[in-house]
Amino acid sequence: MTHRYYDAGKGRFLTRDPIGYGGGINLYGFVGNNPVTGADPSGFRPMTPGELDGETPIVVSGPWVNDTPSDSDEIRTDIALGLMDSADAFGQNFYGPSLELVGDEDVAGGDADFVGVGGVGGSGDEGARVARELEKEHARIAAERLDHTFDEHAPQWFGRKVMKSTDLEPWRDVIERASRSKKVFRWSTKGEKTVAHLARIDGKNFVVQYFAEGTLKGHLATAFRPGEAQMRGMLRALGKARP
Amino acid sequence: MRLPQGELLKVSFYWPARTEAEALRELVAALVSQGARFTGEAYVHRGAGIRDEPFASPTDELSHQVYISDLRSLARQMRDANTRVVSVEMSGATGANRGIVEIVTYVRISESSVGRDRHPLTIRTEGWMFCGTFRQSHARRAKRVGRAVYGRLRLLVERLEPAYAAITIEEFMECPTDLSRGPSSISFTDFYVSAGFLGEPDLSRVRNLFPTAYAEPIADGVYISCTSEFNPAGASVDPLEASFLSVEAGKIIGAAGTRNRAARDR
Repeated sequence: MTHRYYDAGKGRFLTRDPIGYGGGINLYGFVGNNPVTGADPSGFRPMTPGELDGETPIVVSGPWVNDTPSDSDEIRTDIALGLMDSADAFGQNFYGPSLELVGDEDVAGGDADFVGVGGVGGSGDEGARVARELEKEHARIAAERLDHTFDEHAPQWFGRKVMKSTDLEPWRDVIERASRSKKVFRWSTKGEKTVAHLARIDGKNFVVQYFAEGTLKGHLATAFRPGEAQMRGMLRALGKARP
Repeated sequence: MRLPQGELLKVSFYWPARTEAEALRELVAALVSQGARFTGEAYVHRGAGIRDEPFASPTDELSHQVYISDLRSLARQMRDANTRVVSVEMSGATGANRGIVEIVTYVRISESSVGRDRHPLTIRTEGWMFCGTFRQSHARRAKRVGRAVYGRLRLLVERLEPAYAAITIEEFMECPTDLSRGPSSISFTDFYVSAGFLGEPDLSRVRNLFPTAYAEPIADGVYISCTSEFNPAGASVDPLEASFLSVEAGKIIGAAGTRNRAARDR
């Protein structure tokens, strides 16, 4: 099942399934258990929240705040629909990673498969080969981005210098837990649109962001412990009191 | 003084011909010459012969705190073959944020690049004013910080002549080997790249990718900026479009690094 961002304001999903490969191959897999929901098992027809089996979609509302003046809160569907589209726009024979967030349905708990890959239903050697390449590329990017957030933000979270061999797994766990938070809001990072999950973990605030568009759509953008100033801005974006 | 909090603004540099230690020492020296000060804290890895051993990231090993108060004490630490200096904490390194510790350190490279390529170096400071609601509520501060960082990058590029450099928020600037592994870098939206590294034809290709961005000749290359705060003209490119262009620029830079390394190996 493919999970996608759902925009209550627009009454539609913000992303679509990658039907560019004939609909048989689910190219995009990332972050099992990510609570960004909204489902279209077929990959062709967006389902309304009520159609989801026992799932409560996370509603992402409000505009992306503070993009550059030329930008608007409208999703650039012409480009953001997928890498195949963007590749076409650049005239490149370029297939890249990851557009959709996919994962199992157990948002609240269960075994997390951080780097998950959607099902491969294509036929023929070429389709399988492409799927394998995409899976490999996807996993590489996912691991790379996790590592970088670890290097840069884990020391602040743990309150000490960190070492990858011992601290990466706890860091991954914090990100997974935060990704299940239903306090979800739009946030831009130097104009890059992301969907952010704000959580209270072990008595501390934590935010994890996933790219909402572009080449890295669906991938981890960053994760960190926001300071007081950041919290104020994020709570404003969330439209809620302190979590 | 407090440590920087996310989101982080990073000014990153890459030199293919300097060893990591040389690059760190020269970057820190250049920052000192532009008014940066040591806070005293620095972190090292310790182990027999570790200084010259390849590594992926400062978080590979346990870091030990040492006191480095000036260039002389930095040089002393670097002379020890059993010590690898991995980060130096400074104030005033970017010229952007007062009262914030700014960290000069190595950018992680992938395991497959270890021993094959150099680490980019980066200066980390706070960049929250470029994010979310703050970009409007703190627009003047974002502009001030952005211009200061642009100015600092310009001075450092002219003095240290890196192959390429970039200003990013949260994103990490990859080494050429990592860039050539997969087209996914969105770090090249506000960046410098040198003709010496790319060659004139590829420099033109990169420049032509960004026809509406701010472009300024610096050193022997060009600084391209897609974000209004990071260039004096206030020019901007749609962030989504800029991110796709960055991927293309990253491919060209990665390919140039591969080509240059092959030429050196021959």
